[in-house]
Amino acid sequence: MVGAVTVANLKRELEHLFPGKWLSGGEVGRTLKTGVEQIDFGRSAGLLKRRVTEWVGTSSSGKTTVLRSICANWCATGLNVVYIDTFDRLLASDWCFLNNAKDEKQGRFWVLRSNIDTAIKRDYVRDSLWACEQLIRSRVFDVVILDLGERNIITSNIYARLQRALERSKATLIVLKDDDSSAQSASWGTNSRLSFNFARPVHFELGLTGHSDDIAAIMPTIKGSILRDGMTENLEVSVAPYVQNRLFTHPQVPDRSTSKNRA
Amino acid sequence: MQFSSSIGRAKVLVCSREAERANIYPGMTFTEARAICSHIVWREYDDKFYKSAQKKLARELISASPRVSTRESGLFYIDAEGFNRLGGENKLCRDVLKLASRYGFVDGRIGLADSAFAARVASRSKTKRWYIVTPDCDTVFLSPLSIDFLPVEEEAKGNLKELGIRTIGQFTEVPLSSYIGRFDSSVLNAYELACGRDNTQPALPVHEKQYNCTIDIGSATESLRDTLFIFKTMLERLTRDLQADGLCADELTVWFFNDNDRFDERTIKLIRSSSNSKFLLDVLRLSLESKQLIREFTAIYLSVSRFSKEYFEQTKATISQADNSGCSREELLLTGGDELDDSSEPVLLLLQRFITRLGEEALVKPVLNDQYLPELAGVWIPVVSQSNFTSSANSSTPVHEVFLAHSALKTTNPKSRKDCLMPGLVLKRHLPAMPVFVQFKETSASTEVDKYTPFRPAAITYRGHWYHVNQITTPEKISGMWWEKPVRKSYYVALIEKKPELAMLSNGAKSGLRSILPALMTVLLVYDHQERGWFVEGVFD
Repeated sequence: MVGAVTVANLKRELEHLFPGKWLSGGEVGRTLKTGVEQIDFGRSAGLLKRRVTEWVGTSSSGKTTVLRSICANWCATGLNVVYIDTFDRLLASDWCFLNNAKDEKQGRFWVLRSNIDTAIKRDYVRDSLWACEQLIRSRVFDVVILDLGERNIITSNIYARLQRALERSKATLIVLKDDDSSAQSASWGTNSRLSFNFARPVHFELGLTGHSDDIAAIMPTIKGSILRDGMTENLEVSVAPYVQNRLFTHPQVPDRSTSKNRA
Repeated sequence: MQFSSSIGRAKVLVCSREAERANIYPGMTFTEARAICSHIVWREYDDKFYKSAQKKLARELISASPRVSTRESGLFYIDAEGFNRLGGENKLCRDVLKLASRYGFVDGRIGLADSAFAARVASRSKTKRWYIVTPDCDTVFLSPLSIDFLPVEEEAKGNLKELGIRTIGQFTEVPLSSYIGRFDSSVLNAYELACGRDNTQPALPVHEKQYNCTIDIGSATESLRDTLFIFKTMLERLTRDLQADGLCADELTVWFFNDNDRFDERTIKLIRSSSNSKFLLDVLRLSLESKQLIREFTAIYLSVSRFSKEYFEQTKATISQADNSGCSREELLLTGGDELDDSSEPVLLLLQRFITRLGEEALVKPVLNDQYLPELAGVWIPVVSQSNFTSSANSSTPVHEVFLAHSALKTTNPKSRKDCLMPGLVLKRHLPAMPVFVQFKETSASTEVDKYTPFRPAAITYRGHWYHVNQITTPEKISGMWWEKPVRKSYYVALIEKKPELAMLSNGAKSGLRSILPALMTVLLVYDHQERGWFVEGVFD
């Protein structure tokens, strides 16, 4: 009995030093599964709740594409996700399928925008960091995504403050950065770092003619690596092409004419 | 205009004379009105705003006549009895019009008669600004007029016209008993009005209670702590008054004075009506933190500028899932989160914080929009329900269910290749679009491909570097928006790659610097036919 207690204590100590590796059973609830096999069942075993995860890659690397799919999985399972878009770079049409108003059990996907195009001048980064802390403290959201673009200005003080807020909440914080993926160490205060970049092979979807130069969609492979506790694991995902309606995917055109009964 | 669920189905409630001239009438939907008049200017109907403006004007009209009542928007009943010794009825009309024009209502019209209905009809005279019906001649005045003036349904008017009744005179010639049983009560009421029997009388104005208070400190203060203490005292008094009258605040107005100089004025909208002083103090604190005072103040004026009746609702009972956090969650499908209830206390407080500091349109959710252009295919709608359609509404069109089902099918497509990712890449826009230099590939005009890509870019510049266009899609050519700002664009998705042989073309000063730009990028390259230029509108990330 004494031996079992000692092992349990030792596991707790080790878990404190290397989070997410030593506890099992009921304590597995600390991790957040992503729905992507290579992240969930690799070394990382999902993302740790109440911790900061860095999500990095250069400005065109596929990191947001992977994150969107994961957000869709989270929303489908009832988790609430908020995305802080500091520089208003997201396009609403890319994300609207995450919010299904008809399904009450589905989690919400909200975006915090800076509304840069308005006349009011503000310190957008400062506001985003303030908003991030508020969103974590509110205990309303399960995942908070902070997209700072190329402004990598989170200091260790800010990380410490966000970490303190996280400890009192249930949320997971993902810091999205346009950063050089060649950097091999995670920032101070972060639990794990996932880096991504576009790579070959590049897949193509040909157009109606089938000619090799008539390309409808381009899909590069997304390669990445997961860095946790000094250990790295590679991952690779491919994205199915989304071909616009102009080519072979026309749905039946709905009848928009007003019915005679409505008059 | 009053919104139901979308801008397209919004109904016109009131419209100007100019709009009426363009054949726009109350009751039309926005889509119908816009089809008739493309340059229609619309405003959301704000009942409280119009009522407060009407009450304000009514208070001023008391100086012309002691009895003033307000009815529908823009309609006032004024007692015109006993003015023979005060300059006559003509002078009264002139005075009233002068008073109204002083407050910006320059197109006012007046009708003067024995009954309110006859006066109302007289005010619609197209030739005179005021029309005085001869005493005891209301029925004579009304009889030649069309039955369109009667306050009855269009259907009833049509039925009357089919019976050969076209004027009010013909309408009153038929005895009332003939209408009983054949028409509804509105026609019977209209009969009474047409006979000059209208009980509507202007009354003495009711004194409205105002909820405001002022504190003059006497010395200059700028400390947040002191300011909040003052607000706390003021709010406790105001909320006590509101609670005693069964009301709660919808909007607060705060003025800060430095001696006699009003240097700061702020109106704070509340997302939920409240008479809780703690909540209101929290809102004021957020406002002060987000927009700090530019100087010290000596006096504060706090007013509840909008209020409504308090109603009681049973709060939703929820079982927190926090206690279950220890249970095993092996699969993602089992890790469901707490339901996000928009009316719950934490959510409301959170929303109020964001509205106060960042504005109403900061926290949004994406919604599909029935438009061709990629940037308009979705819109951001504020999550706060009361402002669902504020500014972004003018371009929001609901997507037909057929298309919605089709799109949902595509996005939930099962396993693609290696992992279950949503199809398509995510675009991150450049604001504004980034103009680029383009080098073209020489292609022979005879090949079949040229039909699709007559201008095939071979290399582009991106942030000071030349990139070789490795692959490029057939352009998606979209044009439209001719009714607002014409758009004609060709959208290409290009896979671009840094090439060593193009490095010499790069900017020499920058080429030696370490760049965070990747070797392989996917960008949205756009040729704007209107601007005649190439732009990178965003990168796929």
